[in-house]
Amino acid sequence: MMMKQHIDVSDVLRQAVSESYSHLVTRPTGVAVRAYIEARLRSTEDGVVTVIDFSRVGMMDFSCADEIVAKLVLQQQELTGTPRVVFSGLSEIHLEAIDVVLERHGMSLVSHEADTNSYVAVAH
Amino acid sequence: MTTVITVPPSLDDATFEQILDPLSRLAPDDKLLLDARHARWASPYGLTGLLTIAQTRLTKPSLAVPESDETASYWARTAFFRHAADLFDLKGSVPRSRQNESSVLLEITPVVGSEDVHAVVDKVQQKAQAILVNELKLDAAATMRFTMALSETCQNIVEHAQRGGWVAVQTYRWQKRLGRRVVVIAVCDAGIGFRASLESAPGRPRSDRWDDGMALEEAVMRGVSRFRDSGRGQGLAGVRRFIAKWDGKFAVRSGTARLAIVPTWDEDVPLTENLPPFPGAQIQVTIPERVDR
Repeated sequence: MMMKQHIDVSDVLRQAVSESYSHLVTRPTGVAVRAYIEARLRSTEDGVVTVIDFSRVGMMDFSCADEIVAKLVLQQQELTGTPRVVFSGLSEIHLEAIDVVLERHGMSLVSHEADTNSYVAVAH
Repeated sequence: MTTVITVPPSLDDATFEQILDPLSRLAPDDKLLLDARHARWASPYGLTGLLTIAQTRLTKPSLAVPESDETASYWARTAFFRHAADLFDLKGSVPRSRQNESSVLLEITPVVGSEDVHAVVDKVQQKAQAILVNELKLDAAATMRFTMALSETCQNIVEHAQRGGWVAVQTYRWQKRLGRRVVVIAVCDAGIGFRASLESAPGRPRSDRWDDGMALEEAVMRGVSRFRDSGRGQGLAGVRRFIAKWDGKFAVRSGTARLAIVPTWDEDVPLTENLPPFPGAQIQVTIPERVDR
């Protein structure tokens, strides 16, 4: 059975940036959130899939979508060659921002598991 | 000698040029009095623009306050005088702001760092739902998209201006031009502007035509950024796409040029060049009330 770990992005935002923030806006915020997630991934055993959960995030702008999703995926592909991260809890607005930034990197989101409404990023 | 420039009775993005034209002929340390005594109305662009003018002056300018109590009171409720008091030598009676203005979705707010963008987004989110959905009849998801557009336009200051700027959001009925309610975002700064920002990109290829107009086209239409990182430069280009979905208008002025994404209800031109030079970038987003056709 596939091993999974769960990262709640809303918790990461509060721990890595500010207790009072509820939206993923501005590039420095995106950089800080990605750095926190990357540190978690570095200490994760091989074969474990990480579910990055956006369900408690309000709004996400293009800068954060680029830093947290696109750059994280690119970095993971570089390091491992295979996707180890799955994105879940994405709203229509999150998906719009992510689609725009992934397209620029020649990638797109595809459904991973329909029953959990989760996605993975793949190259075109 | 002090140069007096009259503030037009109705101050918006178009009439603001009537101030910039004589202003462009002054040296930065010349004494200046902006005479707003006969001003009757000002858009968020006009008010944030006045503050931006003050930022460009080496000698503290003066501003004659509107004589109309109604106008001065409204400017006070937008927080204009709170910021103008530091930037101008104010002449005339400045009213205190005591009550909230329901049409002011976001009073004039300084934007310097990314923490300011977070504060702006939080503030607007609280009021945006009621105004955008109930008054402008936009769908519920529009609130998030609107806030996203606001975040991206404010970040333009943080990322590129190299000095602080201003943001304001108001709703009003645009009777003359549109006959509908609109919500307007204005984001103005007196920073380095689009052209200088793109010129600072390492290894930027030179072309025969390079001016403020081309810099705006590159940044807004093609998402070019001064950063090498291919993920950069998506903010304003993304905002432009959102605005088009709402039949809205996006206009940005920088240096001597102004680029506009013009909806069918407006008669503006897509690109205006050879305007009076003015530092920084001044952005206006206009989203009209939705009408069922």
